Amino acid sequence: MPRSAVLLHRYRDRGLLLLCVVLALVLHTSSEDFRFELARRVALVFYAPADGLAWLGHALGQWGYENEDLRSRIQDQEHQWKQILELRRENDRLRALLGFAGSKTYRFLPAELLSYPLSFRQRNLIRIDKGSADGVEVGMPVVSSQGLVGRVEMTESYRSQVLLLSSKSFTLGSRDLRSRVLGAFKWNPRLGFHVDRVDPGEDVQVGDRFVTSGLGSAFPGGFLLGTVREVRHTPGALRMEILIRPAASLSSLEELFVVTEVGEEASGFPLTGEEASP
Amino acid sequence: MNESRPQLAVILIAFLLHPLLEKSLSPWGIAPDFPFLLIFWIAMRHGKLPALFWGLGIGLLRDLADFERLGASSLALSVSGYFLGFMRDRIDRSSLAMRVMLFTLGSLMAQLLFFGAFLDWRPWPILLEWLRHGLPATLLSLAVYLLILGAVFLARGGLQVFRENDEEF
Repeated sequence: MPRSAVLLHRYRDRGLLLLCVVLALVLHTSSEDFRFELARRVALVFYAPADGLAWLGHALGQWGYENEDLRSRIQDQEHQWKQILELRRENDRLRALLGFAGSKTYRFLPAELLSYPLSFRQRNLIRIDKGSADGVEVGMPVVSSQGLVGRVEMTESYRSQVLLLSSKSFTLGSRDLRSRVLGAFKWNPRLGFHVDRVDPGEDVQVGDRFVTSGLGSAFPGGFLLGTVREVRHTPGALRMEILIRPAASLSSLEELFVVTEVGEEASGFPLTGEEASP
Repeated sequence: MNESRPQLAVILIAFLLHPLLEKSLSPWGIAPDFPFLLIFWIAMRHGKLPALFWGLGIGLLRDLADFERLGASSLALSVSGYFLGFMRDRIDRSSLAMRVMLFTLGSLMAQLLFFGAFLDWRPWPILLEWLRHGLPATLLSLAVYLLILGAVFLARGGLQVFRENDEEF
């Protein structure tokens, strides 16, 4: 047997140990960039399944917790909804006993905004993606989740034009939710949104909310218009100047609803129910 | 080989579960050293060279979880694996006390090599780190090893009783 083979056989184990030690030390003392790149590439193969499993376990726990929370909230809301229905029935019964008309319900048709006024001529006119083919008619109120936005001005088969509240030609009967004072909701360049035709001395305060009155117009009552931001009492003036901050932000409209049906039978949700409650 | 199968299965499962359970197992940064348990078993069963190679490979896998320590675990596990395999032929392997002592020595050696790889001109921070994490991890690994030995002992005892009863009936 050659001497080299004997030496190799004799020191094989120690040589392998030395090789492993040198390899480990070389890796340990290599540049940070090299170590990072090597670790990143190999970890993708070896630890990705374990990481995936760990993530899945964590996510399942989280989803379970969320599911439980949502289930509990649904139960609460169902309970509240039953109470609301019960109160509505009671209200209708009492109104019928007193000879009043039944409380109104609404049907809302969701619509998407197609265009927003850019030119002066089109000012205060927006376009939505629902038209006469969807049951939209001229004069129908258009609301957002915050409050009243405007009314349908013109319809085509599959789109309509809506006149915004910020038009000078728009005047609406309105009512203070707290004190029940009536007035005319308008817009003009000097005052912005305001309520007109309220006598001095009437009980209107900053923070009061005005809703549509539903009196003498095609608009149903109860839609939130805005909140009083300032009340001006000018000595000797015949009217108060009540400035309003509009409920619906007309410059950031997104989802809109056309109120297509108003009546006791129409099924729908009271959009401004929470907002409009005094 | 058949007698050691439950032991190997327990250690392998523990090694696979280690990355998943590391956070929950080590609330204070201390976890039992499952890869070392595996290397110990390989060294006791197959000798120094398999333990050396497995130590290098498993150490590399372990290091990849944190690239800053790349090479340190492979150094610790391969050298300690070689040492354990080297010693196994020189001790009385049937003695439980000797095996536990060898395990403790090997674990300490692995920890010292691991922390030693980070030594520079200021040894105190590394030494403190070893005292805070390395030493408790060694003790925890020893406790896990004793638990495994106990579990295997009970399993074998139960099997023996079953066999005796089987023969009676």
